[in-house]
Amino acid sequence: MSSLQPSQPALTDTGSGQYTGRGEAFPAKAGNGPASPVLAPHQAVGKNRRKRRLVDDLKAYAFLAPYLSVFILFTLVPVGFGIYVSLHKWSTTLGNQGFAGLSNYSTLIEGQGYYGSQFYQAMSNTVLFVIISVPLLWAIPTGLAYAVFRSPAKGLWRILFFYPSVFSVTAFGSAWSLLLATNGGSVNSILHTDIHWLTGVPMAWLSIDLATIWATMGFSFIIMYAAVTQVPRIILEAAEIDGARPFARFRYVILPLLRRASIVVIIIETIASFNLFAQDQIMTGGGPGYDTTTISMNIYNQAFSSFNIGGATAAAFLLAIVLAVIAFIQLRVSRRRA
Amino acid sequence: MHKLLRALTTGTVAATVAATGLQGGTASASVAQASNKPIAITYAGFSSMNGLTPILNKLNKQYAGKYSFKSTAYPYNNYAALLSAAIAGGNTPDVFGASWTPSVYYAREGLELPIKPFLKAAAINSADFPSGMYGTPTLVNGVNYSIPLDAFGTAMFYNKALFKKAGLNPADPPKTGTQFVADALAMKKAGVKYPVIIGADKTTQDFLYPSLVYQFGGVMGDPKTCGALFDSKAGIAAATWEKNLTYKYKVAPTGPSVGEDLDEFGKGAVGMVMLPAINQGALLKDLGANLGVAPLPKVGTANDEDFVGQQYLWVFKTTVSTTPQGAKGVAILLKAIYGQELKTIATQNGIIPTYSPVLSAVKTMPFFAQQDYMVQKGRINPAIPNWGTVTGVPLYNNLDNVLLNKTSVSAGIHEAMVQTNELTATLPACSD
Repeated sequence: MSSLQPSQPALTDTGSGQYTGRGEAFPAKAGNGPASPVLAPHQAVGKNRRKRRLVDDLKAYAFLAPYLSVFILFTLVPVGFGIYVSLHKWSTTLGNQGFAGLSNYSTLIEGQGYYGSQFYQAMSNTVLFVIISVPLLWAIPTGLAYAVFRSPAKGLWRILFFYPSVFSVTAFGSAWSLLLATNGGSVNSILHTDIHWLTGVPMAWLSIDLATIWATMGFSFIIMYAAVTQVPRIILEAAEIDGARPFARFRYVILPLLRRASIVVIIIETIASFNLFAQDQIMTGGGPGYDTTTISMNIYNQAFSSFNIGGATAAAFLLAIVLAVIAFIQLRVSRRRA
Repeated sequence: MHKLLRALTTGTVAATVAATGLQGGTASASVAQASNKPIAITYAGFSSMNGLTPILNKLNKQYAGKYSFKSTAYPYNNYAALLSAAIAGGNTPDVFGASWTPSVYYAREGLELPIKPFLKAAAINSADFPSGMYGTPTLVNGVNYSIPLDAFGTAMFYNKALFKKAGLNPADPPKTGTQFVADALAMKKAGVKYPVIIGADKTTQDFLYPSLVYQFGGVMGDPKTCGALFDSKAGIAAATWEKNLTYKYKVAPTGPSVGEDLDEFGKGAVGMVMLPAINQGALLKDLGANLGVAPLPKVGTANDEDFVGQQYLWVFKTTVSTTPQGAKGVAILLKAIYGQELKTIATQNGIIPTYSPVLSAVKTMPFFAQQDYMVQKGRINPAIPNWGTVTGVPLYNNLDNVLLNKTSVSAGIHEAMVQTNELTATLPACSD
């Protein structure tokens, strides 16, 4: 094989009679000179390439292996097992009680029984929360990111807006509950009112939204702030020279350039809002009545209070389907606009 | 056909569980014997059993080489999830302590052992338990699977300083519903901002609503059918009386937040609240000499039995508890718990023991005499799986709507019963 290698440069057969010069062996033309005693040159090239590809693949898989093993063990296998469980009558304590087909799904979709009827109420409650919270969880961090970008003492503002994110949900949920309590809460005491912040609708939703936005917007703020700092100064200066005022620069220059970061934030916040559980559990307990009971609470109660893991898993998969559809629509719409 | 299948399934499951237990137990016992390893007896329960560790240490010394006693504390809020995970993972504790009705669930599922043989082995006399808490009320398929450990009644707490402010005698708290309203109106007239707060949340209503239903002569549910029975005259009368305090007599504020009855009473802002007696210790710290405690006023016309919260112990069918040596170890543990541990719980946590030899030893403690009355006269939840903890959710959510005046009493209570029956039907222990 070494006797067939040209001195320089080494070229590669692209399969079309062209040579790429990437250091591969030079092919011998058929009928030219004596046949190779070991391998025909094109066979040697092919084997070499396959070997290199295999080595590259193995290297890649070696690097991926730690993550892949965790992903398979803790994501893929549970999802697969979850699908299996959702198709069975499955008790938390007794395990598999027999194949149930799609009945766990149909019970929920047709709204049969306690969890079926609660499924729709919980889903509509959750959708209401998503509709209120997601636009605010995008708009407020975006506005703040631009304001901080233009302001002095950026470091201070970044800390101030991000610090609520470090609190545990139990801590901030309890704090907001105390602030917003009807009869002894600080807010009603200061305002001399008896507004039912946590025990009336829509105030209960407003309270949960306020607490959630306060506590979780720091993460979105950091993403949007990073995106704002990546907007080329030259574009902003050009807009300024053309007479664009700060709001116009934000509306017509910055915002369009934040599209990709915005998509990320909106998708993350949509998924997080659909999974609302702890704030709700702590602040209102799902009440008044069932008015702030979310789909995650419904799933949890079905699994761990009624021991019906099959039904709860089916509800979780229905939620996953809804989330996937929403994320898909969001991506399509944003791409079309782009 | 359905019944036959059901019987076959139940039988198969029970036989499998029993066989697994026996085989596993035999195997583990023989392994333990062969290797001379002590048999591990595991206890799990609410973290309130904070005096258990020294007792287990003592037992471990006393039975070194024969038994090893271990305990795990489960947080109250998610003990069901943790216990389910333990059972599913094959780590079922031998003895478990929690509210009474979860025991019914596991008993119906064939996961528990009858308790009587353990009582005999531990020399615990079942006649020493209050009659309303052991025996007929706690039968599951004709068998007793659990024993009461401690309990707390439903109390009326009142602020003596606010009573005096309203010209009322703090030594004479209201004994009837009519007197209760009259005293509340007197406090309102005297300028007390919150004469009463009626907590609409589950924490309060878990105790107050069933107490009132019992007082009006009603029952909460039927263990045979797992069905709710509170959509009755008594159930409606109970909810109406609660609602009237806010909207008719206007002695209670509308829309209190979760836990606000307890919080505001502790701050000294409320005249009277009706809450689980377990709060007595904390309220005593808050209000000191101004705290007044009394049994619930007799609101209903039928009787004065009120609801009592409870903690029970039961023995799971495990690879250890189903062997003779393992069962002996469980009995040793129970004997220790019903002796010294129970006394520790009573003296440290102020929770009233339901085992009369221990109760008689601590009865003289400050507020035990009154609580003893509540417990002796009290009534526990019906023997329906997870009643109160799980199946109470629809009742208290709908009662919440009633007390917030979002719906009428009759419509709210009816909807609560429909939903409760739908919910109990989803429980494996009820649906089969």
